[in-house]
Formats: sequence, C-alpha cells, structure tokens
Amino acid sequence: MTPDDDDKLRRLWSRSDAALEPLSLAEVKSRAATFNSAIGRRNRREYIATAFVTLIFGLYALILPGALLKVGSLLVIVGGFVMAWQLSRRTSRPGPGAAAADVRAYYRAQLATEEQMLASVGLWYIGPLIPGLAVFMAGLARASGFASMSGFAAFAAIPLAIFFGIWLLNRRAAAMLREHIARIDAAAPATKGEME
Amino acid sequence: MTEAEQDQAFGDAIARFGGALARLARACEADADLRRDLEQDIQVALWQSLASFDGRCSLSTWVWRVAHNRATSHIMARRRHTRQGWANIEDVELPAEDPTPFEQATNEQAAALIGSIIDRLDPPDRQIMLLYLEGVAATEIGEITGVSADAVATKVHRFKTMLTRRYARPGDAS
Repeated sequence: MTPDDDDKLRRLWSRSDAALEPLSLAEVKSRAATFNSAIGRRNRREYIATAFVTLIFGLYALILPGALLKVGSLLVIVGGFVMAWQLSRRTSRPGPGAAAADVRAYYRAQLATEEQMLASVGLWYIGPLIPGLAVFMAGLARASGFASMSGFAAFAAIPLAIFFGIWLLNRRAAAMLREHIARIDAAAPATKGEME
Repeated sequence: MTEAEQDQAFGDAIARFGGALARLARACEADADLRRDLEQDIQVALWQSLASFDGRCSLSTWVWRVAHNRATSHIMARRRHTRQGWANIEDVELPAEDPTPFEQATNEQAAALIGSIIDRLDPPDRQIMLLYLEGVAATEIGEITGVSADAVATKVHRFKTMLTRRYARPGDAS
C-alpha cells in the first residue's frame, strides 16, 4: 500500500453491505416530536432516585415526630426536585441549529457543557440536598439524644464523607475533561469567533 | 424551508447518503441494536435540522455535520469509560510488528486495522478519517469539521502513513 492508494482504501471501506434501514417520514416526524426521549432515558436513574427520596422522606414527614425531622424531610424533597430540575436543564439536547455546527465546535461544546456540570456538581447536585439533610440530622440527634458531641460528629461524618467523595470524583473528572478540551484546542486552534 | 421542501430534502439526503450513514453508524457502534438506534436517531436529527437549513453551506456539508454530530453524541454517551484512551491521530502509535505485504492481507485484516485506528481517535479526528474514507474532498472535510484543509491533509497523510508502515508493497517489507 502506498500513500496514494486512496481509491483502494475507499473501496475497502465501502465494500461492506452496510445499508441504512430508512424510517418512513411519518415515523421520523413521530420520533422528532419526542426528540428528547433519549436524554430522558439517560437521566431516568436520577429521576427514579428522586422519586424514591420523595417517597421515603414524604413518609418521614408524615410519621416522624418533631418539627426538625418534618421540616428536614420536606427540605430534602425540595432539594431532590431542584437537583432533578437542574439535571434536566443541563442535559437538554442542543437545538437543530446547533446540530449542524461544525464537528469540532460541536464536540468541544459538548465537552465544555459536561465539564461545567461536573465542576459545579457541589452547587447543583449536592448543595440542594445539604440544608434538608442537615436539619433532618439535627432532628435525629435531638430525638435520639446523642450522649456526646463526638457521637453526633461520627454520625454526621458518614453522609459528609459520601458527599465529599462524590464532589472529589466529579472535580477530578472535570479536570480530565479540561485537559481533553485543551488537547483538542492545541490540535486544531479555533478560528476567530468560533468559540463564542 | 417549507415542510414539503424539508421532506423532499430529507428524502434526497437519505437516497444519496444512506450507505455512508450506515457505515458511519457501523464505525461508531458495534452492537447491532444500538447501531440501529443510532441510524434512526441520525435520521430524526437530520429531518429536524433541515427545517433550519438556509443554504449557507451545501446540503452535503449539512448532512455530514448533523450525522457526525449525532454519532459524536452517541459515542460520548456510550463510551465514557474509554474516553481517556482517545487521542489525536498524531499521538496514535501502532504496536511494532513486521509489515505485511498488502496483497497478502485479507480485506478483513485491513478493515480491522482501519477500524482499530479510528476507534482510538478523538471524535474530530475520527470524523475526519471517516469522511476521507467516504471520498469527501479535504476542503469539504475542513468545512464539515471546522479544521483547516491543510490540517485535514496532514492528518489523513498520517493515517495513510500508519497503514503504509503496516502493509508494505511487495519488496518493501524487509
């Protein structure tokens, strides 16, 4: 093979019997009406988790005694909805115009969106749940009467460690994406105004 | 564009690019069911996008961009765990092996090598190679991908050089 073997390469590439199964126009239009369903499927796990949190903490708000536990439960539910709303807002599919952007700009924009989501996960994913959980745990501490401050601190350390771990992993993933974006920029610098 | 014109442009695009879109989906997704989903997703995205097609670029450039962007979204979502292994074509190295005369290599071996190189590329470089293999001119590849025609030519040259090193002409292999 020589570098001039373009035709040979292309024949090799296109020799397969790959054929598109065309959708009917009616089917295309029907699917276009529910274009965001794929994103919805991707976020389904988070929405199911939110529904589960709503159910559990809704029951807590009804049956647990004490204002702190009830208020904390309701704040957790509100935090869960805020988190789900933010997820839906941040993962919505780009419009038809953006879909026809040049490939490099489109890919870079996708990476940048993802990087921003991961870098700010403390704000929109973890943050909304913190107030409710803090009030709820204070209610638990009061109801169970922890003997010492250190006992409560150990109790509170578990969810804090989990949140810290989530935050740390996402920050690390965001840093890796920034490196990826920098590599793409270095490989083919953007033309003026392209990155707006 | 009226809806009738949109439908007409969509039909023309599928008739003209259907095989290439199928090959694009094949290059991006090995699983048959998911590949069919991707093909359908591309068709929906294409029809929907044509509503805003204003002729500022050619229809073929528009079709390629929409199709490759949908494929890019697909591989980004499906292959998050392998993303760190992707690289620019300039940074991809094949394992050192003795070159095989091209005429002795089966089509399957050559196609597998091409696929394995493409599979390791960042989406922009991946799309450049796929467009090259579809016979799209470097200038149009540049317009589709947002990379200069010179950069496209350099990347394609690198791709071909990698294949040349692996598959030597008779007498080149030593």
